Amino acid sequence: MAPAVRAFAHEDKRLGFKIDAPSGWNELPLAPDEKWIVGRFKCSKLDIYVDREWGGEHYAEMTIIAFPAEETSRKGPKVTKDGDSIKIDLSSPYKNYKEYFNKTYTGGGHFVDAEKEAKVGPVAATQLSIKVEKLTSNGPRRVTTWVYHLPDLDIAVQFETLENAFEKRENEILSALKSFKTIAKAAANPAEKAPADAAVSYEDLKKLTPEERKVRRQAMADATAKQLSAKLPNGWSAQPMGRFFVLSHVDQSYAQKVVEQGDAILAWLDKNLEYFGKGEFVRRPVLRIFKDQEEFRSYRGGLWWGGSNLEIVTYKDNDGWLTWSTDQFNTSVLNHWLRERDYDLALAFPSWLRTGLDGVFEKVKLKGGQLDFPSDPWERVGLAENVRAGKALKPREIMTTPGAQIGWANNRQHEATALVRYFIAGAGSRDTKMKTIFKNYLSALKATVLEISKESAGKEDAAPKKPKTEEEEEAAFKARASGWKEKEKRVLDSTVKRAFGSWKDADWDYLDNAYFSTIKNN
Amino acid sequence: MGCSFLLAWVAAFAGASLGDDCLILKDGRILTQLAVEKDGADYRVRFQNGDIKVPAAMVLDAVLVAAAPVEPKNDEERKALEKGLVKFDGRWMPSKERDSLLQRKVAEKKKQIEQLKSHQLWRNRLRSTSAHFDFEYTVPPHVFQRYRDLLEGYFTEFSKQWKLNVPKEKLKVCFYHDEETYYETSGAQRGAIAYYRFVRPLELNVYYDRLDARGTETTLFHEANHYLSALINPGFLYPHFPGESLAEYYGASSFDAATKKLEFGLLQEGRLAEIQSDIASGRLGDGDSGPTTAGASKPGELMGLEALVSTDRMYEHYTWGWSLCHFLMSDKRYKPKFQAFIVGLAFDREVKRDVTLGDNNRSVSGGEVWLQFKRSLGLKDAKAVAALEKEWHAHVQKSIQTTSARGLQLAAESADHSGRPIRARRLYKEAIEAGCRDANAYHAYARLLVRDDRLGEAITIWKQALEFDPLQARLYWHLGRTMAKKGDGTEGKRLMALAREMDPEDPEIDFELDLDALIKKSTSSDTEKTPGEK
Repeated sequence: MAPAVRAFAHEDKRLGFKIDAPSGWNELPLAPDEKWIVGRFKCSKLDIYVDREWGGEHYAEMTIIAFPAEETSRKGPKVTKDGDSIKIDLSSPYKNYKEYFNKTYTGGGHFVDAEKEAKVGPVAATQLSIKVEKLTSNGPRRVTTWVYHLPDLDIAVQFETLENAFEKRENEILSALKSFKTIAKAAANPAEKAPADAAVSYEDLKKLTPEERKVRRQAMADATAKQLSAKLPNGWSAQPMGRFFVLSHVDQSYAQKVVEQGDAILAWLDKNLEYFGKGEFVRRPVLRIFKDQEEFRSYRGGLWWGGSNLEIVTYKDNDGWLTWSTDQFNTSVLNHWLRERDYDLALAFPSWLRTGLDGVFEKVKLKGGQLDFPSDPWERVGLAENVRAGKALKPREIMTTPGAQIGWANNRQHEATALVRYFIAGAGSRDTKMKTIFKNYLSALKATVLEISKESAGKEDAAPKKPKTEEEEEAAFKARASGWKEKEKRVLDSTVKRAFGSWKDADWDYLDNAYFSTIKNN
Repeated sequence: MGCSFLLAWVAAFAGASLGDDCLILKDGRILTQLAVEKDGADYRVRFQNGDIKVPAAMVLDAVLVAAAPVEPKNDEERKALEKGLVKFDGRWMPSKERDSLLQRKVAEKKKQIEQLKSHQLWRNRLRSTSAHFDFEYTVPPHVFQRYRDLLEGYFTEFSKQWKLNVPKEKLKVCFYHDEETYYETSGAQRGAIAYYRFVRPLELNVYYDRLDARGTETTLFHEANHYLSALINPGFLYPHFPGESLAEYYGASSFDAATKKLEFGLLQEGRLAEIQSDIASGRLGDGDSGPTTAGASKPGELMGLEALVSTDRMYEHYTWGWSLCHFLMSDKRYKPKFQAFIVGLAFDREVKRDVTLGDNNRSVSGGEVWLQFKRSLGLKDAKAVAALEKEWHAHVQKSIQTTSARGLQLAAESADHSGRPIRARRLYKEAIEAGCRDANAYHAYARLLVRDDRLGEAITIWKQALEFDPLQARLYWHLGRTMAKKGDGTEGKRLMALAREMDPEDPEIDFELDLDALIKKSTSSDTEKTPGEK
């Protein structure tokens, strides 16, 4: 007879407790910036909800949340002095589990169905049953939580299941909850603490020379990798691979595939956009690869960026390679590189450029060791629609389109993508007349942004004129309402004028014809 | 005095437990652990930091544990008192008998209060069925009754106007006693102050705002309209326009509880204020209404008719869309045509209902709405469209004006929230002159006066606010703070301490205390505690 699978014992020596997770449940990694959750587990078996109209899937989850008395009793902001600077933490701590649940739970409308006080061994506990009934995602749920009251903290152990699966899971849940015990406390693992350099601001880094900055940032990257590796659950590996530090919960060959794709993107950018933030060091990012989409969704609610600004997240998609997860991975790598090379300029990209670059890189793939830049079927259809309807914008119009007008309904995001591809990887990049356009545009953008920034700096020092009459107030209101739009328009128009100031109509005609020829032949 | 029922809303008046008395207010609050005395016809609540007079008009019921001393009115009463008798419940009796009766009554009332307090928990919610609705609620029964009658009256009148068939199933209406319980239990996203679920199980979720009962009404009228409109042709759901615009039109209805009569087509003054703000800011145009806007207005212009009607979804359906409905329904020439447009969307054969929503409901695209609109309104060409648009714009800019106290208050709030304090101050002043009795309006106005360094005027306004709501802690806080700033430190501090005593959990006071603590810590100068600071 095969031995019974033992439940996984979760031990927390820092807080002084241990509890068994149900057997067969997998431990989940915690986000590095997580303040309250100290443990998470997910059932490996799928539960299903079926309604007359729709259905849903769910994996039961166990979450352990700690409420130290020093945090829950705090009222008001935390003010600390650090040398010359004052740090103000405005985040309001949760007073107790119920407040935490009400403020953080997003699975649907809920209410406490039952509540009683009990004892688990010598430990007093509040036992809660919470029903989730209205506007649920994937069906009605049941949340079963026991809050253990220790002398200087509360520990809440929360189980979430589909309501229709609660009966079959009840025994293992209760067994886990009853296994709670206190243990002797030990000091915290220093490796788990955020690296001191993590608090270094971007503004401080700007004051250093490029070489000093490189040294500092390399140290930050190493410290972050060390910190994120320290808290890995069982089944995960941590190692440098290519230009990434990989935290992996997948097989080695899949991890290698992802890294090769990422390395290829970085190498392409180094070579073909070398003028962008020239000389700046690109830190090695931490690449976290989840075993599937479900595990990925449990980490920070499925956000596509990690808890550290050096973390890129992705997952092994059951639908295969080159799916939506690859799209997101590609753009994460692209944006990491852009921010590392020139953070200010990357943030200042106008909508058409940001949309266009993301659109181009979403679909890139390795082909014969080289990066290929195919277009998407939706893009081809959208462009064809606009051309047929006579609504397709010319390049100059695309480059001066405000962000609010770039959307899915009018295919403008496809036009932006097609134009960027033309410039950086398409016919434009091979055309002697056009191949420096993208570089010139970025240069012009940087100069425009700097110019506006200098003007604003001058104005910020002067106290704003306070309106004295209702008429003056209305005028200021109107100026404010339109101010950002006018600023955006100025950036767009000035950049184009700077980049293409010497161009004549014939030059624009050439570009228009070349661009439209590309999209027609796509 | 005396009531057959008690209210279920228990205020967080859990401060200094000075007494065992309770006050039950008409606005839904139950205040417990008080020390209360009769003050003529009114009541006086005693706190450690001062007494507060509560007008009898605010009170539904009072539970005073200590029997009030009786002043003899005539010789007969004087003789009875001399014999050691006391008057209670209209009878003279020995004091022991009175005490025993009083204790029993108090115990009964307190038990009722506890029961009703427990009904604030959703698991213990109350249930009730009317002719057309199934209710689940945690609001106080007397509050509930008004809104139940309102919904029934609304159903009846709307049915008559639009010739509805009575549905087989009743709509479930979930009515919460406060905002927090609503957001927790209904699952609504923050900012969605109510919702109608249009797929099975059909449901309407809304909360009672004690500080804005009229707002609760308009919200209920709006959300219920989505349900009622769906009954015009079951299986067809109205798209965003005219759905939301019509809901806003009916949202401005009013209900007379005494006569049970409804009046439709009043002004949505809050929306009018937003339209006026749009015009003042010139924000329309340049695709600001979103990339889905067809034929968007040019910058500085008013909302275009075609853009409004043909766009699938835009926020302006709530504001400009409401004004279009109001214009068309107020004009004898257009009202029947507009009604024909509404009904036609659901029934006419020419309309392509090729949009599918949940539960296999059909709907129409914006483009199709525009075609039907032009057909129904007889707009044969661009000239006709332009002419109607011009009339509508004239209606918005000239025919409808905010004149009511509430309308002026809403316009003031809009100006305040959009960073126009001078305009806001003027409008609040006008609202007060027009008869506004909402303590919130006075409070907001007083805060603006403080920002303009007009402390004396602000103090006067807060004192006026307290006449309408003497039991709102934050009013005392701000009044006290301002008095202290103006030099009356003793009285100011007393009032601030009173505020904290009245409501130790008030988040606005918490925030002010947090700021004080923050400033003190960062400057490390003032060591004196702010009243209420721990």
